[in-house]
Amino acid sequence: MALFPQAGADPRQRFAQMLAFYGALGDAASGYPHGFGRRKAGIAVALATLAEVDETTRDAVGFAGLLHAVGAIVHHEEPLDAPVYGARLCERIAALPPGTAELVRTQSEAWDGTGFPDQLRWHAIPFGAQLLLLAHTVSTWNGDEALERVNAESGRSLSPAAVALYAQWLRRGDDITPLEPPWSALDPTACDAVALLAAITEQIG
Amino acid sequence: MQQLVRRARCVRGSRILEILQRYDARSLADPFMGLPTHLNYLKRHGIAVHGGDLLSWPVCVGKGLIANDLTLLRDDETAAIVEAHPGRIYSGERFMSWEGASLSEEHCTYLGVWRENVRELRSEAQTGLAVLGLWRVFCYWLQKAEEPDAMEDIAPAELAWHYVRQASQWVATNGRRNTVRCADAAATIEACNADALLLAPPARGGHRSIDPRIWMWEAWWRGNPAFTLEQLYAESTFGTHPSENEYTSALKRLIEKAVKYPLILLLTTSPHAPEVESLLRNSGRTVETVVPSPEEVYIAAKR
Repeated sequence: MALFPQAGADPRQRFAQMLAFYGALGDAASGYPHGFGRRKAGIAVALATLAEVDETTRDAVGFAGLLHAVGAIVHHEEPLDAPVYGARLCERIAALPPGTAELVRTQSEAWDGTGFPDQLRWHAIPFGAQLLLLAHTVSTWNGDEALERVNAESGRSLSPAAVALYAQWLRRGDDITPLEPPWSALDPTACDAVALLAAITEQIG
Repeated sequence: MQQLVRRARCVRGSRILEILQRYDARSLADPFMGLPTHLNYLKRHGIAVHGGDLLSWPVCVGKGLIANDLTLLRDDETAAIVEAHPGRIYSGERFMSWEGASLSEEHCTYLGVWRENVRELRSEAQTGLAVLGLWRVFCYWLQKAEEPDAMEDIAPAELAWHYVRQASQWVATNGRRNTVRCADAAATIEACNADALLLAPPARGGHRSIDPRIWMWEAWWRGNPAFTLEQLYAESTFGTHPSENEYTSALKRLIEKAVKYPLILLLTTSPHAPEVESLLRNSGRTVETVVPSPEEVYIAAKR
């Protein structure tokens, strides 16, 4: 019996489903509601597309959103360290688009330097990570509350550039679509499920 | 209006910790610490840290985040910082020369009030936490001056309350002795003893391209709005060296002074990495390079 019967024959599709599964596991371990990571990734990718970032960065943003809490699978004692553990895990997954691990590490960094793990500030935070934090805020709150929150945090935890992009996106009136893992961005030669399991087991150990 | 620098220096505690753990280093000295949030990260993960900086306000923050293990700011103490005390006379004119496109008259008045209030706190640790919180308010104001429509108008005292309270959340203990000092890099290197030395020197010609937030906050802390960094830099190891050669010589002198440290960790950028690597190799060390990004290249040199 196939582990992911809904996935197609392409090994990248199966591997992408596995990654999405671990992303969902990370969500559960961190106490996020079901589908939080996919929703967050969907918003972040929509903003990245609007910002016309290059394709690799956009795909990295997508996977980083899906795997935003994956560090909690291997380490859940200290939530402030979860991004570091998540990034270390992503660094071991060679199939991911370049830059994914960096975005997993930095997506909780706040614009004003009050985020974690490294309290980076301003332009030391990658643009993709700025979008992911905004997407996180929008996914946490609903409707008008999200908008109020985003406006209040502009220039504080959220970068004004990301907020401006969000306003532009709202004006277009697009729906929030949870992200399907962009499997075609994975490196087909490195989609090794056994190596992925080994990396997770090693970090837990 | 002050133009803010687009690219900030990136020194990451989590990256440095990974390298220190690989080399089994349990203490670190950083003579160019700047805002010591990376040292705070390392401290929270059990590394004994010793920081130094030429500027006095980052050192003051270090007394709150690094040297301090226990002291916090209570709500009543925070309230006493962010608002003018009724009946008290403040020298509110002190920072009025900054009034203009970036700061309003109200901002300048608050800067004067806050400076006097933080100097009355009961410990250096509390003062450090307050200076960190107020620095974030100051950054918010300057950013808002650049992007007035993108950011909300928040009452100065409310914003200060938010940030000063937040500063306390980073206070932690690691059961080790952690220190900060206001000194030139060479003096810090000589004075400290640690398993590793982090060198993140200012960029070439750094005194010319420094972020205005940094020197303005130093001027605020000193209570002298006319203060500039050039004089301070001229007297330092990495002073106003006009040429590449002089900069390289200054770096070489520092590496020679650091002979007692088993591990040197030098932060540089991709274009300068080969030159720095050869300097470290020539000092008889084994070199490894860790490159998270082109702007953040760590060269680890083991004795």
